Amino acid sequence: MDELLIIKNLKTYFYTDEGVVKAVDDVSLRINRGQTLCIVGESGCGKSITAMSILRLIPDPPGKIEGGEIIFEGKDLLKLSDDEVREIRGNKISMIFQEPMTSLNPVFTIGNQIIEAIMLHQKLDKKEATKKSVEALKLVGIPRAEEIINAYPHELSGGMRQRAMIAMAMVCNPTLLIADEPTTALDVTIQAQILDLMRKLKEETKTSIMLITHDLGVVAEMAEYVTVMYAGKVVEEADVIELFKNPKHPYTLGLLESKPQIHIDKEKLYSIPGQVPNPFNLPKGCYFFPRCERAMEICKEVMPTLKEVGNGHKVACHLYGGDNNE
Amino acid sequence: MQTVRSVEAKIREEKILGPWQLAWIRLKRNKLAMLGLYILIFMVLLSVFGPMISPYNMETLDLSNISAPPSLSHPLGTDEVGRDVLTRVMYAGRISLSVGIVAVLISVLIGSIVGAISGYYGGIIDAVLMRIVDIFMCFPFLPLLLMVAAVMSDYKIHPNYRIYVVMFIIGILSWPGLSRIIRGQILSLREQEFIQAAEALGLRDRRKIFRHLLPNTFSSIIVSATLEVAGAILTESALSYLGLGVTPPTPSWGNMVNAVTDAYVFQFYPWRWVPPGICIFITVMAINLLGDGLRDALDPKLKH
Amino acid sequence: MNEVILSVKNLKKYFPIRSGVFQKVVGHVKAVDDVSFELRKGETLGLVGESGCGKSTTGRTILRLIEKTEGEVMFEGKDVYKLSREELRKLRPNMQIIFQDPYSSLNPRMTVGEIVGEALIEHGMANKNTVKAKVEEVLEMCGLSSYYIKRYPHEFSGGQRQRIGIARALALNPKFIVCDEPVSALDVSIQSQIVNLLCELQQKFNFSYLFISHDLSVVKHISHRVGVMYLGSLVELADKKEIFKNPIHPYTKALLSAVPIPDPTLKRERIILEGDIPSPANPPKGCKFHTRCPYKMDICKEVTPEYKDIGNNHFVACHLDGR
Repeated sequence: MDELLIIKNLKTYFYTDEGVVKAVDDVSLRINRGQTLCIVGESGCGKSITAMSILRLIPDPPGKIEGGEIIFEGKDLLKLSDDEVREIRGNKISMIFQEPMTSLNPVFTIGNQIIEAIMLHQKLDKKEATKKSVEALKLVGIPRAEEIINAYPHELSGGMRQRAMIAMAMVCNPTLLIADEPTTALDVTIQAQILDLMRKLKEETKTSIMLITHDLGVVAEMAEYVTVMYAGKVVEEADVIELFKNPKHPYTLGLLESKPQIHIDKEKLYSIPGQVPNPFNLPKGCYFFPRCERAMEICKEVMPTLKEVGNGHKVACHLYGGDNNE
Repeated sequence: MQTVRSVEAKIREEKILGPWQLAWIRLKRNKLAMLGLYILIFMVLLSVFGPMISPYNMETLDLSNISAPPSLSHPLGTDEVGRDVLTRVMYAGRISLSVGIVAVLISVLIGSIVGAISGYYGGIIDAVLMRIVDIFMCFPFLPLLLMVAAVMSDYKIHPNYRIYVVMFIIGILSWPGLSRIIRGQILSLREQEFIQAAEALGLRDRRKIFRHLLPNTFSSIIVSATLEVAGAILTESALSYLGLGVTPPTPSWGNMVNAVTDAYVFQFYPWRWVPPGICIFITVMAINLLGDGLRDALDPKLKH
Repeated sequence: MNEVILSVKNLKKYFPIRSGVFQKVVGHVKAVDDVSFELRKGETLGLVGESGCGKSTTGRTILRLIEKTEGEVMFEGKDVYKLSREELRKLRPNMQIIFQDPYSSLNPRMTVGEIVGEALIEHGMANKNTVKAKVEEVLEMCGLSSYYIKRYPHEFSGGQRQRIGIARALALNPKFIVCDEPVSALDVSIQSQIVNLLCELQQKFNFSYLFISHDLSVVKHISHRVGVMYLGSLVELADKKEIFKNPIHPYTKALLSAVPIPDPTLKRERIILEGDIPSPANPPKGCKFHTRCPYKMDICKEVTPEYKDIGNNHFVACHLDGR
């Protein structure tokens, strides 16, 4: 398979007054060309930090990438100079965020911001860049693109802003688009529009997408491959059909069970007991052990590692595959 | 089940830290603020207990020892009528600090109540109160004090009582600024959901203002009050220096520095004006350091 | 069916838009525009809609946390808007609210015990000696350990804070609770805990809920009847089963089809609406939905469709009404 991005044993830690937070703890991922990878998890599981580590956007201090490799098109991003990374950022890899209002600069027009991105990475003059921006806005389905290009971010609705963000991200034909909860702040009908747009763009441009979300519904709709994270660790990964048909890790199972579904009636919802773990006070063995209904003695002591259980399905749980002392 | 029990046991063992304790922990980490706090405590102790320990009374005259330079019996020398300068500086500290603190207490009391009522009720009440604030802010400070000082001398008010007048005037003139701060905070707090919750619970207005709104402005009240104490001490010193505040024989740091107006004293008797000057300087600086540290420590964002 | 506990008739809430030096009123945001419904004892009415459709304002106007512009709110036969402030204050314990944001809805300067117990004392339901036992009982009921009583909100996670908020409302023995997006700010694994808790409490105490949410799947799980709002008005209201099986209004249909389903094998026909929600300050003439409606007719641009019962207690405001 043609691999675009390989993350190996990434460790991103935050050093705070209260202690060290292992926000990303030994995470390995891979994205193939043209693939959509979804990272699912709850707040604080490290999914956004993983994405920001790829672009080296971790604020230092307090954050620090402590180890691992991020190999993008054969180059280790962690070994590049700041200038080289800047060259990749927004050009080969671009990112869209949850809240488009805060990621667009309020004092520049939409057009200015897209034109700036184009001129930074492509050798085009202002006129050509403007033309290209209008095209980009049209591509993401913004009506009256020639007018909107002169609008300020606050003049647009949330959905329009997110479209503009996508236009800006796509304008340099990136090979990887990282979308961090791109539809969480939007209404359902607008979310449907944006997801539809992202799917279309992907088919047309063959861009790989790394989609970060907490919504399993969005995952089912968008993903080809899924990675589930919990407390900074990957607990399960599989092909999307396989994962939803045959979830293995008790956490994934719990997540799927606990979400009410619009097409199925349930008398009572399942719920995972307990709270999302405190990053300063993680249990010794498996991080999910205190909330797990199928916990065994070994889970209290030993952290399980990610193991293949067939069908390209990997899971980090002692229930599958006996001895985990490696 | 066992895990549940062990978790509960852990909860019991954990120390409960209230918002104030957390602020104290944060303050303790700030070395400069702690330095300020220590200096301030030292100045307060010196002013409160110093005069008691001192063998001299602040009004004891020692005519055989006029304007004597520092010596073992008078560590900071004596003044023009032979009074011990150290004793007077310590006593003046009592006056200056208490003027600062009482003035600010008056200002906080009026300012927070006016600000809270204005911010909570809004509408006409707010408009009226804020216009009153505007009027107070328009008062020309110095001319007013000159007037009051003149009135006080006309009515032959005893110097000992003049300090109360000074406290009162500084307090009365400084509350409007604070009330504006409080009003602004109350306005933004009022939009918070916990205030809506308080309304939905059917709590009385009094309780909402004094239990829910004002306590959440305490941190800014404390910070501005601390900084205001420094301001009030400076104002008092300036007034007393000009002879409008506390007048001799009652000493205050300001009127002691006043000795410097005499060129001869300035040149030959530095011990008569340098010590009170230094006291003003380090006290005000200490308060400002502390106030700055408090601002950081009391960061109202107590989230997470 | 049980007795009606709350009835809302033609409720309107317009916020004035002011502008210029003299703060002249130049228009109105029609946040709630002619909403009517009834709520029975022990029933949950789900109110769904997208942001800015006025569902939260509806909840708060019913509780008179915001004053209405027009209309009538009858709670247990009493018109909430005809009560004096003191009478309203006395009525408050009967109708409570649970908020969305578990952070801003708890006073950071008060302990959990004070937050939950305060109103009990204020309303004379407990005195200083009995309040602790009562608060502990309510906390346990909401799945919180009674050791928490002396702690401050900042020491809790979002889900636990939401439980404190529920305990605060529950302590007063209310009959009716407005749940304003109570699970929207929570993580998925915590959401179901809170939803289950609300369901259990309803079974135990026979509360009536007005459950406001933008998440259709949660609303579907918890509600008995569901109302759909668009730009300040109810466009459809019916029994849960009815509305999810047989949605009539094109907006309801689109909303239902837009919800992502966590099943990658399921392929659905999806209605993707064009455009954005118009501004409530300047809603379209005629049917407010006609600018985005895939089935719009000429009449929709001119005439506001009547909100009426098409049988089976299924209310809908659409010129198509099922035909």
